[in-house]
Amino acid sequence: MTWVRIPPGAPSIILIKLIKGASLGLFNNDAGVILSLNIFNFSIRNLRRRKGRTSLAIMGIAVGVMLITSLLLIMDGLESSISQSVDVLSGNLIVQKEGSVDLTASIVNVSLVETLRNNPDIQSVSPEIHVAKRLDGGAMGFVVLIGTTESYGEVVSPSYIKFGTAFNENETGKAIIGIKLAEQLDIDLGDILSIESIELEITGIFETNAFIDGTTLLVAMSDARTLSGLPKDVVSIIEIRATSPDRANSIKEYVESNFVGYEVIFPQELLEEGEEIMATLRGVILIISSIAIIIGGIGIANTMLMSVLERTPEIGVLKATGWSNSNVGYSIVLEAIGIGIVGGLIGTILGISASLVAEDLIPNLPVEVTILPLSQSFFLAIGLSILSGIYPAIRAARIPPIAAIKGE
Amino acid sequence: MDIIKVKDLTKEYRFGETTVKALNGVNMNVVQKSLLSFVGPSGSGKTTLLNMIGGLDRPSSGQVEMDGINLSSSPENELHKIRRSKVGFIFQHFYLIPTLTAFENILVPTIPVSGQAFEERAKILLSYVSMEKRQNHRPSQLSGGEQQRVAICRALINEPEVLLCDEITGELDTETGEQILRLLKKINQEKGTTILLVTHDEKIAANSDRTVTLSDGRIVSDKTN
Repeated sequence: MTWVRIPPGAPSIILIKLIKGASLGLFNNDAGVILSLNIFNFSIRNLRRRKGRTSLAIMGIAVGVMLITSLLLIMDGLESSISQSVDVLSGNLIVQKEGSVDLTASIVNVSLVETLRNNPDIQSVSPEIHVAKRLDGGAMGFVVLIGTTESYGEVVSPSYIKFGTAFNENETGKAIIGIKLAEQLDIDLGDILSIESIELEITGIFETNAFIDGTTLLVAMSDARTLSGLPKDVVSIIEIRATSPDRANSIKEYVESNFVGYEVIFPQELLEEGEEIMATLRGVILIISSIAIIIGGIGIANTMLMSVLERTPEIGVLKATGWSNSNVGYSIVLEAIGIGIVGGLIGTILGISASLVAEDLIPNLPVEVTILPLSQSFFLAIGLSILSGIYPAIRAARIPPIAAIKGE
Repeated sequence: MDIIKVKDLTKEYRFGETTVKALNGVNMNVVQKSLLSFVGPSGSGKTTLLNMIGGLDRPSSGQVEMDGINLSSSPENELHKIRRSKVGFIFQHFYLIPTLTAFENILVPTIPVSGQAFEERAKILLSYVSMEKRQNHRPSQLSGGEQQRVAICRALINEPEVLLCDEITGELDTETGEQILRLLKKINQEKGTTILLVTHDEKIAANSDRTVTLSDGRIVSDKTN
């Protein structure tokens, strides 16, 4: 989870105003204290007449806001993770078997490594065996083991080891674990993980800011070979860092024209496609969750309409005592806004909680708590509550005073 | 000086093909600071006439003038200002807001124009009707008589020139009703507020300066007591 600092200013001012509004009459009474009455707290106190119905309307909007908030926080986390991975992998290429749909299914001849090292456009070369395995004891789903060499750091990030010792390609029975995976598994340096009865001691923790931080263990090539069953003369892929990102295409042309049966892919492009998919998914999710919040809005409209119908004679008396039609309508809209504010706040808090629970329960699910999605869903609730209050407000405003007093 | 002038006032209601005349050419004037009662059988047009005088309802023809302002031709966005500044209504059913205290209920008419001066006036009014100790009680905690006294204060908060009272003792026992009437008389005499009462009670009518009797939408009797 990532927390983003909320800038001081508007939110706190709004909060102070709400608290002030409350102190002006929301919670007073029976204490012998006379407090000034204004249209704001008059409207809010009207909501307390039918506490059950008001609570249901609030929960209706809160559920919609919760849904939107939690989904936005999760989507933001996923997008941010992909975006960081794109930055990390910018300029990287992967040589794999032509047509492989998965890095674990690819086979590349190890002799290609030396040939590629001699290419002047290539800065570093890292042969890798990728294998997905379940931890013994079923602590979680699959983890990815990458058997590699010390050149891995040159390809990914020179300072990728955060804690513990540097990766040693000759040390079997050792593993360097991604920092997020270590957090999820509650693993620390010196702990032992077992995969298919092979014990791996954690000697280091790496951090690349890419998604592999939450999925991967780096192990010696020989351990990965044992677990994958690959013969000695092959690896899964060869990861390459070009001398500069603009050399990537010439490397691709070189490999694909000189070595039959291999292809070069750009992980950055794959991730960028992932970003596009996420953007589409975000739109779909927003539409679906908007339905929930619209239903909440209908709940507010229904509550307000019932309230107007019940209080018709009272509305007539307000008009008889000098309230204008717009005063009456404004008061009704304020009641709807009151429901929207409380529902929005509850929904936002529940949304943050739900996304954090999801982050804990679902492996590799990043959540990013930022002010933008929180304010988006909160203000959506308020906007919708205003819309929901308009029809009941117009209805209340338009009733002729005498008809209202007669309850017509 | 006449504060209210009613000229050829007619109010018709249509029920399908049938037209019912609730008021049929009513003419009358009301002198400032007077206490006037409207009496007559149910359906005679008393309440309709009161509502027309207060600008709550519009006539089918004719006009009502209050303090020189023609209410019948005033648009709604002007009428509410006239109701706020010149008229106070008191109803049979009190219509107090249940979530507000007695003090706050008195202030309801002033909410759109709220200010400290009204709060001071509300305290004075509560004291005037001997309700100062009940100011923080909600309507459900007050007796019928107390609720009506709060409603009277609410009607007086804007210091209206005319107080319109529709069957205000209808939900009260005899003794409480008499207390309320004594209070109205006191308001009329001490504050000089013109008071128009709709009532079925001949005793109440006998206590007013003038009694106007309506029947079938017409004034059939108008006598000074």
